[in-house]
Amino acid sequence: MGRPIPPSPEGQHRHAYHRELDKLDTDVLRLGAMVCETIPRGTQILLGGDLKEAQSLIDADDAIDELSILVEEDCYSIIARQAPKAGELRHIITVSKLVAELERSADLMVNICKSSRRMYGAPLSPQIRGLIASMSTEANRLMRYALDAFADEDVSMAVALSDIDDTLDQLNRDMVGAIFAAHSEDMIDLGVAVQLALISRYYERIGDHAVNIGERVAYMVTGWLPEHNGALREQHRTGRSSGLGTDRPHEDE
Amino acid sequence: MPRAAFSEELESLRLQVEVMALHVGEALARARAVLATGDPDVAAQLIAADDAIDAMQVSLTEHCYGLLAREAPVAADLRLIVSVIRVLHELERIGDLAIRIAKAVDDQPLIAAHAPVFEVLLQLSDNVIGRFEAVRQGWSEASTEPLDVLETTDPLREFADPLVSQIMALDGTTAVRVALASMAVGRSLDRIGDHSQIMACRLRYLVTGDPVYLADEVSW
Repeated sequence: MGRPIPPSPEGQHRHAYHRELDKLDTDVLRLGAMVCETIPRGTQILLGGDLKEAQSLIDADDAIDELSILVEEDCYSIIARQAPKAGELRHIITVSKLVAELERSADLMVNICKSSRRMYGAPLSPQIRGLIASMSTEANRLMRYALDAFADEDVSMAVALSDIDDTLDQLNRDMVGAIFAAHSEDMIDLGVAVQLALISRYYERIGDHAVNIGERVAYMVTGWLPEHNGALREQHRTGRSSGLGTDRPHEDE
Repeated sequence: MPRAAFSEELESLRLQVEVMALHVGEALARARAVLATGDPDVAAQLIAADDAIDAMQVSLTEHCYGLLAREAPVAADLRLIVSVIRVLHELERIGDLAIRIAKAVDDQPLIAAHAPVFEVLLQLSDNVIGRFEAVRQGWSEASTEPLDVLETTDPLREFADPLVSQIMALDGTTAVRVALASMAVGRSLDRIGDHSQIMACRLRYLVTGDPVYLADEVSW
């Protein structure tokens, strides 16, 4: 039996490079898992009025921030050292964009905890509590789907997120209606009404971030961004066809 | 690509970001006008002009990706390109937030009828536009000096707290509607300020090379 042929230096280099890319994916998915955990946890804090846990979640955001920065710096470092092309470059850029969406989603849960402190002690009707719980479930579901779409490079799921998000948008509208009704019946004061509207908006924004992640995943796989639509309209209006980047990029341009 | 040609391309990229920032500045001025007057024509102009901003974002972002793939830049050149990618995203988001303010045009008469809330919103929008313009100027001059103005104002204390106080003082049958509409506009303005701060952090990172400013970004 002959001795195994050692991999060439170039092969070793490729292997190390792919390990780096795998680590990038692992880290961004770990970040996503941390963000997903904050959604039900923050909602429980809000509905339970737990001030100690609220502070704990706010403090825990530092770890999410730290990991976000590390992953983003890793992206730049890989681009600088490995000069990735085409699909790999889009993959790394997508990771850097996902980091920002995830980090912002975690910030929104921090905002919800801060709002819960501002309306501490205010009794909430079963209808409003139910709407909050439903929004939390929907926001978490969207974020998990978005991360699954990234992990599986699933364009069908990625582009479906904007339609799935309609449920959360409707819940937000229902919440605004419930806030108006509760205030008109003197069940909540104006301050609580404003905080509830903000909380509802924060959940809706988490859904928007999940949709953004879906768009980025679709870009990663296909090279098409939603901003291309506006660019196409502008190109049509001005009659200019060059420089707008509206041709779908090819995998190996 | 020869070094001189690459440098020229980077300079051209910087100039195109400036042009996009000018368009976003126009969008902010129109958003302020919609808030002040409730003019639906201005709101429509703002919304229509956003396609040009989107087009610039697509064109320049793809240009940046092309440069990364083709030139494999390092050090300051890499910092410039990744920073431009980030700034393009922030500018596009500011444009979207300006649209959000324009879409509140139907609620404008209601907000304007409540002078204390209306006045604070107008002051906040002036402050936010001032901060955006400072960052835009900083990018234009590749200098952090214009950013000094960002340190001299505390929008939270000067505007956000008074806005909440004025909203809490509302009463009557329309109080909730005015409160929610005002908070929505106020929050959009607040986020525009945050995106401007992120651009300022990027500029500081770009000028100094100190990654501590990247860490500052996540606080906004």
